Amino acid sequence: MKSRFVLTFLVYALPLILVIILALYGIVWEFQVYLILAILHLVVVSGILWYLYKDMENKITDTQREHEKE
Amino acid sequence: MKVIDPVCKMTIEDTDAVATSSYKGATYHFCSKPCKEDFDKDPEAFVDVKAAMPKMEEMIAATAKAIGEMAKDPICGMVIPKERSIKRDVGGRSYYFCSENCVRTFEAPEAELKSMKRRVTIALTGVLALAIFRAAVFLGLAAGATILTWVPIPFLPWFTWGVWLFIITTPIMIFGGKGFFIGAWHAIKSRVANMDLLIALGTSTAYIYSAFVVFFPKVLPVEEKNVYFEVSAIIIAFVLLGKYMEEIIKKRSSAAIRKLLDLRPQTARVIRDAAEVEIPAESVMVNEIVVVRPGEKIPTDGVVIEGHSSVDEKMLTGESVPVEKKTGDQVIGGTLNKVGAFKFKATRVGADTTLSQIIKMVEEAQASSSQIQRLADKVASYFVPAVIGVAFLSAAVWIIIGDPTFALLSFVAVLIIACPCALGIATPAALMVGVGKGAELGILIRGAEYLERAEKLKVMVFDKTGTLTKGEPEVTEIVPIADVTVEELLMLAAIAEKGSEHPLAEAIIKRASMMGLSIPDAEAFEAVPGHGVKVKAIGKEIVIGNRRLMQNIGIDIKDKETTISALEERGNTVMIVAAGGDLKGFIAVADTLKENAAEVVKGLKDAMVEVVMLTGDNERTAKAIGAKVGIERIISNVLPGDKAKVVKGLQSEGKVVAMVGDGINDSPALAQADIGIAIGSGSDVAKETGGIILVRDDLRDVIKGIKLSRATMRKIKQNLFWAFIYNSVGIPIAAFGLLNPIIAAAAMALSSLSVVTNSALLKGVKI
Repeated sequence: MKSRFVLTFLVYALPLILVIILALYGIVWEFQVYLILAILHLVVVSGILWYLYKDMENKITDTQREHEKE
Repeated sequence: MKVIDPVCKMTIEDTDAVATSSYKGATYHFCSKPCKEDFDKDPEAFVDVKAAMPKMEEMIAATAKAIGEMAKDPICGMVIPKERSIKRDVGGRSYYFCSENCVRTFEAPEAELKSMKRRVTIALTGVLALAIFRAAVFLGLAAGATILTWVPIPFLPWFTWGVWLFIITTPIMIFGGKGFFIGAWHAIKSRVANMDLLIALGTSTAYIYSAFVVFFPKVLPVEEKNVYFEVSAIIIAFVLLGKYMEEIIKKRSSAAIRKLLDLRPQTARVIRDAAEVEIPAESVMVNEIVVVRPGEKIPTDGVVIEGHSSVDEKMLTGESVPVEKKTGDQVIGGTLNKVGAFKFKATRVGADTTLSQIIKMVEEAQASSSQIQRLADKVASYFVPAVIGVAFLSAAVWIIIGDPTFALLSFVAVLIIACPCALGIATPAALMVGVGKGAELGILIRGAEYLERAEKLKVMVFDKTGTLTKGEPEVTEIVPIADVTVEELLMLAAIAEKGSEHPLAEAIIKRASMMGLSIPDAEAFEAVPGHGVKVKAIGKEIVIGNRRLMQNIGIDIKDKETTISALEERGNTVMIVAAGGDLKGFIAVADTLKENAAEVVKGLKDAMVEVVMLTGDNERTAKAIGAKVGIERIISNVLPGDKAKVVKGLQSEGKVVAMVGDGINDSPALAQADIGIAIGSGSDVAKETGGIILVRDDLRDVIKGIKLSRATMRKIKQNLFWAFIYNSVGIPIAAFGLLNPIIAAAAMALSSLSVVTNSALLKGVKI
């Protein structure tokens, strides 16, 4: 429960944390921000989507295999 | 409540109607403003005086008429007039499509998916190239270079950075965005706002504005020279990716009709010119004699004229016990002949067969089922007018302040920032986690629309046989007569049935084994088709069977009729046992309730879902079973072909209806229901028609499926919030003329990151 709460908090606070960290380094409106936002965001989001997709595919395959065995 | 638009005949929810009109005391609902306008011009053309009476029977009749003229595209689900559609004949049936694209998907579903994958790959690669390219420009700026995005660089004097961005973005806009622009055009024509319109509006504004900055910088009356090509590209790439993912999840759904067609045997053996010849099954003619051997499928409907056998009709009727067939009995095409061989005369062929009728009913049910408005489209239908309003308001304020140049810029900026790139992945990201989690629990979900409907579920209809019951007969009561013990009676029955392969015999042998009885072999075994079994063992003749068999061997059962009838009224098949010419007792066999059936019904009631049981049984037997499981609303004496009508009737009460079934005869009802839930042990066709499939054959998964659907829907709603919130915050920034590419990129990055991580959290939710 505790870990779920922390995880949920992190997700919802993620954008804020990101901006605060960047602000602390004084690079909020610099080109690095664009690098992080444009490239990293693309790679990270695509990566997570890919992971969710493969996870779903594997679970469906396992379930179907189990069903066919029965 | 579901109503029919009198102009286009589309079935819609009355609450979703775009407009209404009153005519001769009745209210008419319309799916779009053009429909209302057509109606208002000449109501008599669409409604006659009788139809003005708002009776449900007439509405259903109108729907039936409309169905005759309309067809549902099996790929995109669009209901289209048959005369204006593209027709294809496959396996003796006609299919109607709204576009060549849908035809291609139907004929080669994998090829269309591959093409979509190619478009997604092009879009994502282009976006990555754009981002790297743009970053390189910024890096150049950071290094103190004087290169600006719109200034030609020395190495490529005829090109500018902006032109490069334009070149990379244009194919993404054309190939990737084509579908959204077509969808937006249709939305404009129907005067409705949807997701496609929002995407088209945001991306085209960003693209056209940026193109002006690059090619006609002097036309713009300000020094502001930022370009937003990547906003267009990223939105299209992500929304396309989301659609592709949804397509992957749904890719098997269009196979339902194909599975039905697969049931038809390819060939039939007929007697022609006194010789047995094998011909294609569709060539069998009425009154032709067809020969069926053990283990073969029956090619068409007919009447047995010679021989006898038992036929497995479970795939059609849901009845687990094979049906004995002798001369004069009817056989159904597509069912499986078990042990004997027989000849039958074909009575119905082609489109008239029972199987073809079921296919037709599935099609009709699919055509008449209303398409729900997707949640993202619903949100967009409010968001788009609001954004356009804010854009105009912002421009108006700047004009009043006295800065028309800024008015134009803020108008454009508001439209650019309004479309979130996470909009397209909000649903599929949560859906993928929900579907994955469902698979882990043994529940397969076909698409987001079933989740959206499950959230509003009000009525759950259960087919009885094979769904609430096990579908396999079990011994329920053993009633010995006089001094015979339970063990002795069971032993006699087991000796007689030991050589039989009939499912009722299997139930008796199973019970005898459970009681630890050692069953000796019989000396002679004689099966009496349709009646029972006779054997000789332990020095006497043992007979087990029905009333007629007892009459044939001269055993009087008249004074035991009350006992037999009481057993039958409790839903049992009664087997009468006699030995040495004396009546020994009765063994009752019945299809018993599944474990947890009562628990599931209670769980659904607790979740405020009304539970209904559908059965072909008579009212008394149905009520007895209903009482055992805790269902009060029972619809009995339902013919296999009428299940879809019952579901339709329940829907006409204005409720969202789910149907749980397993047999082919359940398929029309599964297609008709808002959510068709198929049991994993059921027929392939039921599974292909159902929107949710319970793989494990555990009824408790019905409740888990509903809980999972509701949890996934909550996640989709949260995702839509995260998708829109950052861009919504960006709207006032844009209105004040402070938008720049970094803010646009930040909004896109933050919204899509929030959406994917929020979706991943669904993995931790306990169902």
